[in-house]
Amino acid sequence: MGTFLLTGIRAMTWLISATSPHEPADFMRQTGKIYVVYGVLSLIFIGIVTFLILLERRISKLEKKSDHEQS
Amino acid sequence: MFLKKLWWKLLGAALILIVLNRGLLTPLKHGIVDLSPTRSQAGATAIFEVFAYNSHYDRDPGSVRAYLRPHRPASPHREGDLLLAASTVDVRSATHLRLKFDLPAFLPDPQKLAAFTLIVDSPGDGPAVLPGKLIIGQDSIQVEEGIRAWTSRGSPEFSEWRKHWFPYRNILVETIRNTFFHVSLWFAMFLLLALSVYYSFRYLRQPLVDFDLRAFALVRTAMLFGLLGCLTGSLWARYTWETWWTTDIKLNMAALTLLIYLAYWVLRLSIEDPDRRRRISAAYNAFALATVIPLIFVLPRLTDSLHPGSGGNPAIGADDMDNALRMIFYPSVVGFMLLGLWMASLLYRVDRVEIRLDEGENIF
Repeated sequence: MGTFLLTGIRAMTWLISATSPHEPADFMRQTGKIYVVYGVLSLIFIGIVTFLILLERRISKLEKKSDHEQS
Repeated sequence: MFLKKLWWKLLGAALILIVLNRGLLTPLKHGIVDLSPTRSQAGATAIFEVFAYNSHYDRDPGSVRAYLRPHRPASPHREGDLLLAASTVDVRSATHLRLKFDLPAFLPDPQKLAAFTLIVDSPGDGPAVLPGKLIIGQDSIQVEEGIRAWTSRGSPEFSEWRKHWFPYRNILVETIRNTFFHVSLWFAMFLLLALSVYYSFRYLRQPLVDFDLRAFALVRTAMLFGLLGCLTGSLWARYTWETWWTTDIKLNMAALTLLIYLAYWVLRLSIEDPDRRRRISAAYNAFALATVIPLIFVLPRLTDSLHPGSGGNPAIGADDMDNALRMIFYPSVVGFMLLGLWMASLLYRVDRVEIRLDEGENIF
């Protein structure tokens, strides 16, 4: 098992060193760091969804209150 | 009533859609990532490996040209003339060139070491420039001889710039598109804050609950935008400045801004009497913006900052933004401002209904 793992790690490091010095191994840095833009857009989307969730909770409370007053 | 009209909300959404489309799908101009070796000697036959980004050199290998130019010309009026063409351009792949330069024995420079700029021109991609990376040394100095050897015979024709493509910048690369999202969030935040101060002033002159609610809703939306601005900036910094957070003045002042408005929120919550709460928070809001403007707009311009525009005007100055970016950036600022106004108007309307139900009467 140990030797198997070691071979695996050796193969991995060989693969990384075999890639061109101008193609980074880090996922976020691939293809001109375009995934950073994806991350920024995701954060903004999460922010807007959080806003919607908080707003919905307050509207639900208002609905309950107005139903209570109607009855 | 303006708040309930639909057209400006749709306009904001349409602008953001256009920005997403153009901002993500417009390609970058090609750029030179690296050059090796970066040192050479006058009089030698130098071979350079050049690695490029977003280039298509293999489409028309015969018409790729490369030139060297002094980074700082010996005399200003000669800048255009001094140019050395590569003797052979070997296209290894779409993004890899092997260049051979027959360097003259003397440099057009009165120093032993001089910096040179590499220009690669390809008809499909346009010209690309790597400024001042290559250093060439010379043993003896003869400036006039150097100028004669480096003067180009016949002016070279460069292919046309892709005007609407985004500029290539080393380190930034594709993340230059974040300008449309991260920077626009901050611009929108300031509009929302300015508008909230306008309503705070109106409340101080005429104490109607309505004005106070509008100001508070605008501040909360602005805080969300500021928080998103910090988070997106932090992610961007992680892959360009190689850290989540630096001691850069603009970052710390932005965090301080958020704290100032957090204090505004806490202040509102801590005062029981509604009239007092509204009056004090309106006054605090005016002072908060008056504090934030020097923190974000003045201090970073006076000191050194990683952000563009230390000692100048970012986003408006010609150095930091090129016209292709501007064409998308300004619609994006308007789009995010309209989105922010929409979100603030929703908060305000919910607040209004809540107060009406609580007090059981129409106080407006």
